[in-house]
Amino acid sequence: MTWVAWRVQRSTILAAIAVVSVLALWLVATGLVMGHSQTWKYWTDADVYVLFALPGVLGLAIGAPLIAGESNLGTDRLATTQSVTRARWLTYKLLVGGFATAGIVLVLTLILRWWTGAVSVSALTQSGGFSGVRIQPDAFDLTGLVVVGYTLFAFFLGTALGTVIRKPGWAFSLGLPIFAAARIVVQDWLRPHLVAPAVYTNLMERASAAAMNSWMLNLALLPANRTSPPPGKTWAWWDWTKSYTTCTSQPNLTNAEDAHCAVLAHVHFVFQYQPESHYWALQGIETAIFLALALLLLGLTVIKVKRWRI
Amino acid sequence: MTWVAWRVQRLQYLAATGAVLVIGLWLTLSGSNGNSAWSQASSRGDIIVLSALPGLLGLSLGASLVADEFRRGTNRLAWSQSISRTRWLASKLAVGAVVVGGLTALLVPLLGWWSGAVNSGLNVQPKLFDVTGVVVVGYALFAFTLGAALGAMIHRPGWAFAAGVPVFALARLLVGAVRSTLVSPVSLVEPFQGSEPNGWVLNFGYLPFGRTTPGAGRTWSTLSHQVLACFHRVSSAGEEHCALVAHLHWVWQYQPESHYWSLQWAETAIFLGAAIACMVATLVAVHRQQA
Repeated sequence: MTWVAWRVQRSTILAAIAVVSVLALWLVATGLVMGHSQTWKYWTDADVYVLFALPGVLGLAIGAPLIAGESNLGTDRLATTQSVTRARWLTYKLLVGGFATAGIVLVLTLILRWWTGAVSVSALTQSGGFSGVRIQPDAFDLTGLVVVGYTLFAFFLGTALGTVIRKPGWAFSLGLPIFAAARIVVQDWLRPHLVAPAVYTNLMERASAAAMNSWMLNLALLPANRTSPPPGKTWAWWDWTKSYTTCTSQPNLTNAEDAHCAVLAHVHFVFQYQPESHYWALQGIETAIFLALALLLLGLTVIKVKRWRI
Repeated sequence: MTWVAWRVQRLQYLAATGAVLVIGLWLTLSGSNGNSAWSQASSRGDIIVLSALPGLLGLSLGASLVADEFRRGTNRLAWSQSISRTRWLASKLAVGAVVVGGLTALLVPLLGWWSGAVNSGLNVQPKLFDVTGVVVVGYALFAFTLGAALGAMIHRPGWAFAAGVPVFALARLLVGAVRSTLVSPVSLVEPFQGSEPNGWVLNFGYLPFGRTTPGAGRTWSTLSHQVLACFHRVSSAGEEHCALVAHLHWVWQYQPESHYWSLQWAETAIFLGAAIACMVATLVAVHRQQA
């Protein structure tokens, strides 16, 4: 059954390996160049969008034809009338597809880790000593475990949509916006708070070195006894008390006088950020979220396939 | 053949009409709320959805046009009739183009009213330019023919749609990048930096007297440091004095609102040309197919 499962998916998986190999070659080439010269520019090229899209496209491309391809061609009737039970058939197909996808992406992740490492070194040595590259949203998405999480989620999303839609092309097309929506929701709304952010307070609008070299989430001028906005207010609300604004609008203010104004007005600046040290915790939790979603979709796939009335 | 072309795709066309009715209803509701806080806040997301809509509509109708026939094998039936392949394809494309073009043309006045009611920007600015006026029809028709062409090559509607999305997005990005040059922009010259003119501002900066574009090897901002340096030296001098001393004047290069319709028609013409190219490609692919 393993051989059959492999043989059916062989062309898709080999095509995926070919595409990823080309990408890997490009990464290795640019990574070697970056390590030796001052090039932030590879980080901001359009190629990076390809890297963002890749886990989703890869997972969906292998997952969508898994079940839907068989329904589409009518070979599901052939498969379910063999001596192999439906459960075994499905299990082997999912295992072969899942392991192949995860394996391809794992290799790519290792190369991406090395590549963003080159960017980190470049940032540290050439761009004024910035050390918080990996925790920034862009780099976070491409290094570490989360890439495998995204890909497996996309893979099972493809299989689940395939059982419902039964045409691989449309399952893939529908899976793309769903995957994009899930990624955006988790990245923008959940990730900042998956691990309690660190807070730095100062009487002046100057962040500590740790806060500067991190993923800055929020900054506000808040009352002195608070490190988060009062109930009913957001971080966009700054506590511009009249005493503070009149005090700081004097010309030629020294740093000491500026800080004293803040003390008198009972306000301080609060920086909320995720430091680089939270990297692995955030990675682990976000991967867990996507793996949980993947398991949910796996369950849906299994239920749907078991209910086939061929 | 017209009846056949309609009948084969009837379900898709009716579904598209239904979708457009829903969009029209939503636009009416959203616009009649006027300047409520809710509509202002959500208008940015709405615009993103609305700018994707013509493309998605056109692609979904176009992808199944030819590809469905291939998938079901009914292309063999169609091509073994007395009608030639060219006429067959022409009828299918014509009926589809009329439906797609007609549906989006119906939305155009509604979109124009909605953008005035909900948004406070200018129509010539990129954000609103994409979702108002004739370009909407151009996008939809291009997406339709692109879907048909990809379907004729890929033979599977779902994958044709999936391939069409990035191609369409790329085409939109490329044309958007050259949009500012389709009609010559207007230059507003001032002694020093004043308030922004009403329109789509493309470039601004200090330029030497007598020029309205930067010289060779220079950008719009290369000369601004001269004024800044003067500022730092003599802080009491006004910006006007510094500019005068350096023989510079401030130039705004922009597309005024009056250019809106010429830009619209120019961009629509580009997309209609691309649509014709896609139709030719579909024709070639259909003829080359050994049924």
